[in-house]
Amino acid sequence: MRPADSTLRAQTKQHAEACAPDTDCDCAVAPPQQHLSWPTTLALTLVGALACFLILNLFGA
Amino acid sequence: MLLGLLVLMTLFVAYANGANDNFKGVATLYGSNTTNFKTALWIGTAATFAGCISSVFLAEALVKAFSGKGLVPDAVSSAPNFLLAVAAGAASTVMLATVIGFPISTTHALTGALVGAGYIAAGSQLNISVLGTAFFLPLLLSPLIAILLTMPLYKLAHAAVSRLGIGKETCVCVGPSVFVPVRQLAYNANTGSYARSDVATGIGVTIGTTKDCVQKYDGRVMGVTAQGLVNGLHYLSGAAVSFARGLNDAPKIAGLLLVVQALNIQVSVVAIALAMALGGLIQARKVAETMSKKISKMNDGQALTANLVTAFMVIFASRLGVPVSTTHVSVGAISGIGIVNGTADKGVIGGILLSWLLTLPIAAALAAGVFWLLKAVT
Repeated sequence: MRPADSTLRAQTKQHAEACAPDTDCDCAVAPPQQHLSWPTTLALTLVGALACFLILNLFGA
Repeated sequence: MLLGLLVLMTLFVAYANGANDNFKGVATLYGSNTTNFKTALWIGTAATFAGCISSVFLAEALVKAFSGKGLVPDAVSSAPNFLLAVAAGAASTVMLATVIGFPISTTHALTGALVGAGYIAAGSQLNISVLGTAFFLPLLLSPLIAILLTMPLYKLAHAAVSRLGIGKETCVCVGPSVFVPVRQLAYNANTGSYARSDVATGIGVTIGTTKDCVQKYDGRVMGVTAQGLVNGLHYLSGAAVSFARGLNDAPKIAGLLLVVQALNIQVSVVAIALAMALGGLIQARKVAETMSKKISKMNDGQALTANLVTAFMVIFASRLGVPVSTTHVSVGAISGIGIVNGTADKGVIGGILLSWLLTLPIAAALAAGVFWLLKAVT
């Protein structure tokens, strides 16, 4: 039976870690990325936009 | 004698600029393994060279005499020994950063060098207030805007990809260039390895070799393969950023020579284009590794998003009057992807931010030292 994706990832990661240190080696199955949620992304974007506005005002641009 | 040294030092500025900046348009191509280092290097170099040469025809108005940016009186900024000190301070700073592997802005190194040499030359006439808009504003604004655009744009692109039913398939490298989707591999529970079930020759293929393994898009958009579309746009945006960089940077550096009419515009720009290409081909590796591999991990789609933001900012934002630096924008966009996907390396980003802050004082100190020496000798 084919193993679950998580097993596949773990084993592939082991292969990647076992590669010689001088090789430019990446995981065959990249570990799952922890993406920011939409609310966090929008909150950060708004805070950043506010910072831009303040910076522009600070320099009178 | 001084003019000859000025020409050589200006070419050194161009060489350092090429070495440090060559990957700012193509870092994501290499970082996402869309292509290898050599191909990305040649794309970046060729597009930058084309941009430099085009600046003679497309941007002759941009090729102005070096003005000193309002920091120092015109009489000071047009003296050959002053220009030589500025070029030496800026080139040394950019080369230092290149050797260590930090992507920094050549424009900011030139600004710092102007401050240092200007302080020795003009003393109290040095107009420090100009630094607000010439140094601090782009330093703060460029990366911030790039991050702000990249984060929501990637989330939108990610959602759109899911809606279009485009999936991802992970492939393993079998031999030097053949990729086999993992789903075509059969798992052997006895040996704990994977083998291609459809290979009739009996030669097994395992995923023991993970070198060059990549994640690819699976599906079609408007009749084109999703992977082909992503790659096409990615190469195009990388070449566009590099072209725009050449178009913008060559006239800036040529300005150092034009003020004393050391060479004419065409010869200056061609010589600078060649020096930039040489610097890029010979010494771009360290900065390339930092930008492509150390700031964030990215797949094709994430890399494309970052590069589209960089292209947009470099090509259009400056036309809209927003002071942006290619260096800060491209690092900001790549960091933005890292923030969204949780792979941003805070240590590397912190080191780069520190190098941006140190660019001005280091270039200032070096240029001041060179100008002081020149004054003592001449």
